[in-house]
Amino acid sequence: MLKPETINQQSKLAQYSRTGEKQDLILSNPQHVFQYRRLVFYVVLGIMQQAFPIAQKAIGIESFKALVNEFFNSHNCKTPQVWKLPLEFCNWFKTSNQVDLNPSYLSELLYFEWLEIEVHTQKDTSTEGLMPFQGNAISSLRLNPYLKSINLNYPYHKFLPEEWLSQKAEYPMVIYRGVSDFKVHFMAVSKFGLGVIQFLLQTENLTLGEFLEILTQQNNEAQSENLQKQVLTFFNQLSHKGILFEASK
Amino acid sequence: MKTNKLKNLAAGTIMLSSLSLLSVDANAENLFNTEDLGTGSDLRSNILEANLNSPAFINATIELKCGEGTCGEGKKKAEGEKAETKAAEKTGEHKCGEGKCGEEKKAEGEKATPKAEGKTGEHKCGEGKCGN
Repeated sequence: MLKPETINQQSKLAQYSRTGEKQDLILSNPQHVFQYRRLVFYVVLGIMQQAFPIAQKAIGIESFKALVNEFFNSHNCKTPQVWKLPLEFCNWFKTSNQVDLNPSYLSELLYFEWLEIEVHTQKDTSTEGLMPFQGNAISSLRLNPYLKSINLNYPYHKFLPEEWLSQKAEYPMVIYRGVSDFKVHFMAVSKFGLGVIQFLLQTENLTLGEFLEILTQQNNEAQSENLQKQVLTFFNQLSHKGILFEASK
Repeated sequence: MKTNKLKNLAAGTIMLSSLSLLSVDANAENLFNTEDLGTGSDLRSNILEANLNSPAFINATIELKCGEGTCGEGKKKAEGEKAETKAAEKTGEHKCGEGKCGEEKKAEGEKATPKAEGKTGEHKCGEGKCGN
C-alpha cells in the first residue's frame, strides 16, 4: 500500500511528464526531471509519427509536434493498448479546437492513415470454407473479412497536396488485408463499385443469384443484362485481388 | 423462402440506402473502374515521394528551418539536402516503430534489405518489435 504522499508525488510526476508544466515535486536531482517529460513525450510523438507520416509531412514536423503536444496535454488517454493511441488522436482531433487551425483535410487524412493500422491489426478470423469466386449462382458471396471501405473527400493518392483542397470530391477506396500475404492493400474503386461492396458488407450469405436478382429489380430491365456482365467482371477483379470469395451454403 | 429473403432484404432500412447505390445507368462508362494502389507502404511512398517537390510539402518543411528546432532537427537540416532526403525516405517506408533500429541494419548490406522492407513496409502498429 503506497503512502498518500507517494501517490501524490507520482501523480505530479505523471502530470509533469504529460504537460511539461512545473509541479511541486520533491526531487533529489531537480535538473534531471525534464528527462521524464522528454522521454515520455517522444514515445508518444514517435507513435504518432509512425502512424501518420503523410499528415506529418503535409502540415510540417513542427506543427505536427505541436499538435501531438496539445493532444498529450489536454487529452486523458484511455486505451491501454499503445497501437490504438493513434485512433484516440484521430478522435481527439475531430472534436478539438485544432480542427479549425489546420487544413480541412487533416481530420480525414488522419483517419485514412489510421485505417491501415486498424486493418493490419484486426483480429484474425477464420477463413475456412472460403473459395475463390467462380461465379457459381448458388454459392454465398463472401468478402475478405479484413476489409474497410471509405469514401474519401480528398485525393491524397491522385493529386499534389496543394491541389487536395481544390479537388475535393468523392474518392471511394477499399482497404483490405491479404488473407495469404497479410499485407494491407489499397484499391480505388468507382462509386458504384463501393456501393456494391458496402451492400455485400451489410448482407450475409447472399448468393450470387440472389444478388443479381436484387440488382435486376433495382434497375431498368433493358439494362440488366449489360449490368450483370459488368458486375461479374467486377467480381472477378475483386476475386483476383483477394477481396471477394465464395462459400458453399 | 427465397422470395421472403429478398423481400426482407429490400425492406430493411439499412439495405434501402445501399440498394439505392445499386441503381445505376448500366451504359455509363467506368461503372466498375478500379485502380490497384498497392500495399500500404507502396501508397505511402508514392504519396510522399511524388510530393517531395510539392510547394505545400516544401512550405511545411521550411517551418523546420526557422530555428525553432530544439531537438537537433534544425541542425540536421542545415547539414544539407542529403539529410532531408534520408529523412523523407525513412518516413516513406517505415511506420512501424522499427525504423529507428531497422534503418541502420538496412545500411549494413543489401542482403538485409528485402527482409527489413518486408517487415517495416507493412507495419504501422508497433507490433513489429515483439510480434513480427
